[in-house]
Amino acid sequence: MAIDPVFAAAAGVSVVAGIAMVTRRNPVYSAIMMLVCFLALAVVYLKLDAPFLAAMHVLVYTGAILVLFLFVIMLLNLKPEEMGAELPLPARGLIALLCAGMFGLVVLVLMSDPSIHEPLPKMDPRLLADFGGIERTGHSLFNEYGLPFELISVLILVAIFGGVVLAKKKL
Amino acid sequence: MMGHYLVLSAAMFSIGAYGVLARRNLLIILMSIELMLNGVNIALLAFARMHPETGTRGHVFVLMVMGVAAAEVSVGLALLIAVFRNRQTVDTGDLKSLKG
Amino acid sequence: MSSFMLWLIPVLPLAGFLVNGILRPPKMVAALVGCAGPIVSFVLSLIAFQAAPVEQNVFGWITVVGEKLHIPFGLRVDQLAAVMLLVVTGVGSLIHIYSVSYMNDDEGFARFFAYLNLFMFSMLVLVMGDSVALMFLGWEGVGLCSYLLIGFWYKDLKNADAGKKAFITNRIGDFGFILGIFCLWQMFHTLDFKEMSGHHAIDEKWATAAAFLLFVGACGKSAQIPLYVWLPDAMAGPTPVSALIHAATMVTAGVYMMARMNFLYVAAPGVLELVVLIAALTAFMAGVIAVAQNDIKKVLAYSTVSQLGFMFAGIAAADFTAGIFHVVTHAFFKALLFLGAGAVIHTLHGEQDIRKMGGLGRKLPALTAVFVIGGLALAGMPGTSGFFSKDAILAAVYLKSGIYMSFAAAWTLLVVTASLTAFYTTRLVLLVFLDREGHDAGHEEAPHELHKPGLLMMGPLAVLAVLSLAAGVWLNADHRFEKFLGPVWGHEEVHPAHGGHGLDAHTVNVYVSIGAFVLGAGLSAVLYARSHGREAVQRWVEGPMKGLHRLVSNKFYVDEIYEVLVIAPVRMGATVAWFLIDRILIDAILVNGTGRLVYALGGIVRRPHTGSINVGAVSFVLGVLAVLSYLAIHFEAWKIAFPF
Repeated sequence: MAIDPVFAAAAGVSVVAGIAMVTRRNPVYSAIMMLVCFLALAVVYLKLDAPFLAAMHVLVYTGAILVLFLFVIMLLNLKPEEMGAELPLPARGLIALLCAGMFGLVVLVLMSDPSIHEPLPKMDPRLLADFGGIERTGHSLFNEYGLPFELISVLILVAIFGGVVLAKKKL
Repeated sequence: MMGHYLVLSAAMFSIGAYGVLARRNLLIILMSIELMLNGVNIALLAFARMHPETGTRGHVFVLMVMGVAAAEVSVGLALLIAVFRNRQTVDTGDLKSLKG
Repeated sequence: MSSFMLWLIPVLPLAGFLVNGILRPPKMVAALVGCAGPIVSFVLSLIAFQAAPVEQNVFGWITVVGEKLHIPFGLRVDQLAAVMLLVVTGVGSLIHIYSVSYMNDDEGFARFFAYLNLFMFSMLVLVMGDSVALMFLGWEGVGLCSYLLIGFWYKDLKNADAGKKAFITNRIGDFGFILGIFCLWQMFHTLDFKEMSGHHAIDEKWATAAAFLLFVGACGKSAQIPLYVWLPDAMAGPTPVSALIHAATMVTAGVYMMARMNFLYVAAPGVLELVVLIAALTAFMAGVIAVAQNDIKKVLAYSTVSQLGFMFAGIAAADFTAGIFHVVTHAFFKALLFLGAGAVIHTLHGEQDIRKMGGLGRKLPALTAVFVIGGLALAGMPGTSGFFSKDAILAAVYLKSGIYMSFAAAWTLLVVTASLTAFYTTRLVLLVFLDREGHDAGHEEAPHELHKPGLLMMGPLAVLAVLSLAAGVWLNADHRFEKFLGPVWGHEEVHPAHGGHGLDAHTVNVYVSIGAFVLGAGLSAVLYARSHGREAVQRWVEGPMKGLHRLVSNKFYVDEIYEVLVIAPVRMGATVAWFLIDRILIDAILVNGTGRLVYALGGIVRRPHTGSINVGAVSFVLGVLAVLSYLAIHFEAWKIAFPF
């Protein structure tokens, strides 16, 4: 079972960053860790032959969502006391155990599919040129998956409305 | 190997789950939710790569997930700001008015 | 008489009850309606009397197919019922007429007549019913009317209490009566009198049980020991009620019932011994108490209890004719006495204490005359109806006294009681009517201001006086009463000439009766006719006889004993039941407890609602994990994941 070193590095960074993210007290630190994690994940995406999505990932998640988080953090301007107490250690330990258990279970279930032991198939250029490329994805977005595309734009529109209304000082 | 990607996906998901469950700061919780969604994305892409005969379906799905995540974050943060304005806190321990 | 008219006899008073009770018409109309029923029923009873025996099935009442139980609402008038019918409707009508005047100033005039009519209906059903069940219907009905009428002036709590006491004591007797009916059903599988008496072999054990239980009912209704305590209290009701219900008719229902069931009692001689003992004891005790009473109605009430004892004694001696004879004569003179007492009370504007009376003889000669006649009949002066009936009973008991010790004892008691009866009756008459030097009732008012009784009151009194004098002689002649009633008992009784003592029972008892009368009346006259006699009595009562007098005038404290022995435990039991069962068990434990339990459970179930988001999320994840675990186990993921 050979592990691709690139993948291993990227995966390792993302995991470590993720763990760091969920354990920081200061939300700004969490946000920075989230940034690192996402960038590592972008690399993983690239390894999965999804260049378009890797770009999208960076644009949307790190470029928009993360920035939004940082804005809000700045807006709230929490002092250290206001940042919220932590759960007592035993509780946190239990939950960690729970999540570890969940992880184990999911892995177990996943491993029961025989196909995972196989390596990724060779890409046949004649069959699937531009797999994960922007042209191909865009093409299917506008043709096959036109409806979900439109719906997602409606969703975003609704989210915009919601965000504006909810954040108003006076309705 | 496919299995590696799926393990990574599970790990992302679990880490995000820990963050949602064990943290009391609403902002961290929202961030952890993003992490979980990312885990899902990895799994989707892995399966899509495993079965290229499905075409762009997996990728489009991931795009949808990202769009939903964006929408959800914006609304969630707006809610958080509203809550902060009313209660002056983002600590879930203080938001207990539904206590029965 | 065509038998289809029989039902009119009870129904006419019932109609009167409905009209007067529901419509409450003005006095004139109410009086007419109220009296019309009994009077017409009396006329019809005369016709029925001529035609007796006659019967009629009015309608099918109870039918239970499975048990073959069929109780029709059937009316049967045989000779016994005919006699009772005449007494009830005749004396009843007279009392109704009297009441028109007596209750004239009462605002409940229509209501009074409604209740009286309802009573007539019930009593007539009791008398004419052809089965025990129907008799019991009437039995209960008269009990109800007794309660309603005793407590007629219900606004005074004492009257209501007296009514309650009557009803409850009656009920206790009724319990025995019902059990007796059950026994009868077991024995005969029919409740019809004719069918029951037609049975040939009657098992003595069952007969004893049934006879005893029915007698318990009779004790309640006819005021024998131990259930007599209601009758003196019943004097709280208007005097016509006392006359009709508590002298002439209702209280004799027990005697009537036993006469009806003669075949049963003949088959249970043990019960008859018990009856005669209780009857004689009751007669004696009530007579003693009557001597020391100072309320005119109370004297008459205890006298009634005493005379009822006489009637039961006659029945117990299996001389049913004698018992019924005394029922009839007693109805006449006791009603007369009560109505007369009512007139006295009315005249004296409500005074009932005989110590405050006197001198009425001069002022109200007619009333005095009839009252004295009634008194003589009660005392048993030879020639009056009371003499003949009492003598018949003494003779009957005497005959049995040679055979049974119990009857001998009873006879002795009854003779003494006869003497006591004469004593207290004479005392009563003398104290009420005789002039007393320096003390006269109503002497403050001039004679013409006394509220003298009018024609409507004196008329019935006159009729009753005539009957009290003549009925005895007339009925006794040629043994015509015995012969008339003979077929009811299945044989014609003619008194055998010799008793167990070898003497002519009849002659002995005649002399004894006369002697008792002379002794009692004479002694009383000596004491009460003149003032130094009265003063002597007064000194004895306050001096040496004080304790005894207090004991007797407080009726031997029987009511107080009952209060302690019976009523207080019942009340305590009720309080316990109220507190333990109602307050604690039901209220606190079952009702409030359930509420609190639900509340507590809710409190426990409420715990997961922490309001904490984290807890909610964790629970959610746990749930997901549970599902996943199940799937993993189900599909045995580990075997696939780690194929070893």
